[in-house]
Amino acid sequence: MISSACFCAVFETAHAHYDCSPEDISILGFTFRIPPDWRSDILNSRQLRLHIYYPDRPRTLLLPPSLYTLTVETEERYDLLMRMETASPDYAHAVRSLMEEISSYTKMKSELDMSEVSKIRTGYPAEQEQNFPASFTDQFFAWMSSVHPDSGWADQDYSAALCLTDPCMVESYVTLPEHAFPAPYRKLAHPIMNHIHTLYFGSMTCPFLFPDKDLLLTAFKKATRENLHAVLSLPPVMSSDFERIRHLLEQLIPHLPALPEFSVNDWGLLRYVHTRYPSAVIELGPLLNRETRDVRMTYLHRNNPGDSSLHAPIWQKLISDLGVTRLSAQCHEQAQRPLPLPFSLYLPFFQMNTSLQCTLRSALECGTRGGQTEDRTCSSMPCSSSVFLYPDFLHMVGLQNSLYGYDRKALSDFSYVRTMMGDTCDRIVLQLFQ
Amino acid sequence: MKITAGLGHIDDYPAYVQSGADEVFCGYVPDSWYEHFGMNSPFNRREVRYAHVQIGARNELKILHSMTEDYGAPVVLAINSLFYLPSQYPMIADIICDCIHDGFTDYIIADPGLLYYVQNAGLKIHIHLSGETCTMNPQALTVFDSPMLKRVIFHRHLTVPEMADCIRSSTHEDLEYEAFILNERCHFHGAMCATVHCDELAPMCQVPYLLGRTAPHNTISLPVPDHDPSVFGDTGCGLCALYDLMSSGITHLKIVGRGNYSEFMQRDIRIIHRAVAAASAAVSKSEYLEAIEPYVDHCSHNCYYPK
Repeated sequence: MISSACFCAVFETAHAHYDCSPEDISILGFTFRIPPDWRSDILNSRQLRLHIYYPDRPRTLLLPPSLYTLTVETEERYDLLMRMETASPDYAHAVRSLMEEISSYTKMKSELDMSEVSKIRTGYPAEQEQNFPASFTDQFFAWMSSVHPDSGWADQDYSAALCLTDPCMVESYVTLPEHAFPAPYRKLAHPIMNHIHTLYFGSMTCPFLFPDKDLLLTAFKKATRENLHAVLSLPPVMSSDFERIRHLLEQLIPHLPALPEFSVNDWGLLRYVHTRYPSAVIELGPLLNRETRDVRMTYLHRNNPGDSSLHAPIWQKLISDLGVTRLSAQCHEQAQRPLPLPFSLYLPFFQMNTSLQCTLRSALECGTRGGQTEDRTCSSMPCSSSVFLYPDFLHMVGLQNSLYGYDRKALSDFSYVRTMMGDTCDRIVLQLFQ
Repeated sequence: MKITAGLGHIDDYPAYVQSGADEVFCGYVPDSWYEHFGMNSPFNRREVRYAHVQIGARNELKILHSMTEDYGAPVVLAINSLFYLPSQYPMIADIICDCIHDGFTDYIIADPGLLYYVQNAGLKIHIHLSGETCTMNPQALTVFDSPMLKRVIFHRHLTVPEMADCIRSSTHEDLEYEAFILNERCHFHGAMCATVHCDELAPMCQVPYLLGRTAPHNTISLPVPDHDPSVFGDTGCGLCALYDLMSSGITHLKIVGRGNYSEFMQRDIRIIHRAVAAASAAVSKSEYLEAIEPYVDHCSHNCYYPK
């Protein structure tokens, strides 16, 4: 049996076509099943079009009726089993190639582990999977050391923001002198640090990293004194966390110098914020911008489609109905073309996946990432001292409750970033972790 | 409480129904999709080429529908990719029209844009809101409420009390609620997973990693779990929580398994079918737990709904 993702027979009549996936296939033909009411049209089809999908290319083969015969083998309650036979050398060649390719993959998959399969199929350097960084500190230092700050970033006109993604960073910010930023930002000798006009407070991925009310109030007031625009970043939340964050916002917002901008990563919080604060500027957070982000994409040699859902008018209507006026994107090698509304471009880290069951806590307490308990509360803050390290060559890391890729070009090549910005990106959001 | 089971091949449909499935769900990818997009742009959440995880071409779709007329268990089609490209929405609407013509009325949808699109296009279908829409709280569910909404599928990261909260808060009468009960649990959240799942690369959650501490050279190697799908519940199990799910208002239980071996799926369906009967007959959770004890050889400790 062969998957319809590999082979499909399309019988064409003057007015219709009938797609059939095969049962058994050989270089002499194939069997297939049809609903009984297709019988006459299939037997009288005027052409057979075969779609053969190899991994790297599709192939279409056209066979006129003179080159094949059709017979009904059996008739069952729900279907007829038919056989197509042909002596076409083109067909035989195409099917032989396909079967060899499928057999080769199946044999590999049964005999080798997946990283070896990846190596053979894509050039993925499986042998480097054992080379880990000693720590995230070392890894981060190596990544930052490779940044070339003179690569076009210095003399550009852009507005930038910093993400203060956890309470420790926000706490550090409020205790520092005016116009000083916490680690790891203060250690970054990069021209982007001269363009900071905005601060994001809060994690875009973890509800437990949301700073408390008093800390946020102090941070917002300091940002106002420093003439910095402030954005509140809201993570995805389960119902219990929703109420906690909603309550915190109700307590916080009336005391702020001004209504903040929101970057929202949860549909429920999006509706709440828009309903409760209809005049607020709302950014559709990076997690709600759906696209493929994977550090291994380079091995797959796939074409970048360029567009994302957010380019579709239907998405623009959906988010407009929810009060969204800004979008966000993340900088990575397969990034989308510039978005159709004003947007923020996050770099150099890009989120790849997220868990709302804390994988770090589970790993520390149970020795496995999948050993969660019903208790979601977070008192131990495992992310303040632990990370998941990945093989060096992947340029990725597990931080907080997410896996992030690191885009090496982002801080080193402004022209690369500029292409992603287009005319609509009005803010670069620098997101570093400590 | 009804059982909905993943189907990878139409010939398994009768056996699944006879084992106790009240409904099946499956992927159908028309040839026109492969012709336009190949494997680069998945139509649903099964993104592999070699394995038989979808039903076949339209011939099989029609045959499957004629089977449902005899066996009675409805079939739900999964069009549940997390996102689609702008040019794909009209094409998907055309595909849904073909499927409606062939007798299929219920669809699992995960892309908010597609939800909006099919509503605006006036398609006469029932929507099963996928857990991967990222609707994890009652307020999020209101965003996607519509007359076409028939069922909410809760994401497997929600706890039973969180599902109960969503059900209690709903003002939508007659809505069905579905929870995962068996197989293919992942510690990452599907709605927020942007990584590839393909023939050539391992899933990102299986790439080797170390647990690292702040101090250099203080790392712990954690094994990537190697679960055995031949063992009941080994890749994820919510059997112990079934009684609570029933009490919370869950109407459907999902057994994941598009592409699983038919024998394993039939076993899974039979056990869950018996467990549902046991939960219906039990007057307490402890009585239920006692009743199901003989059903399984051992606990996988890979719990969907841990305590």
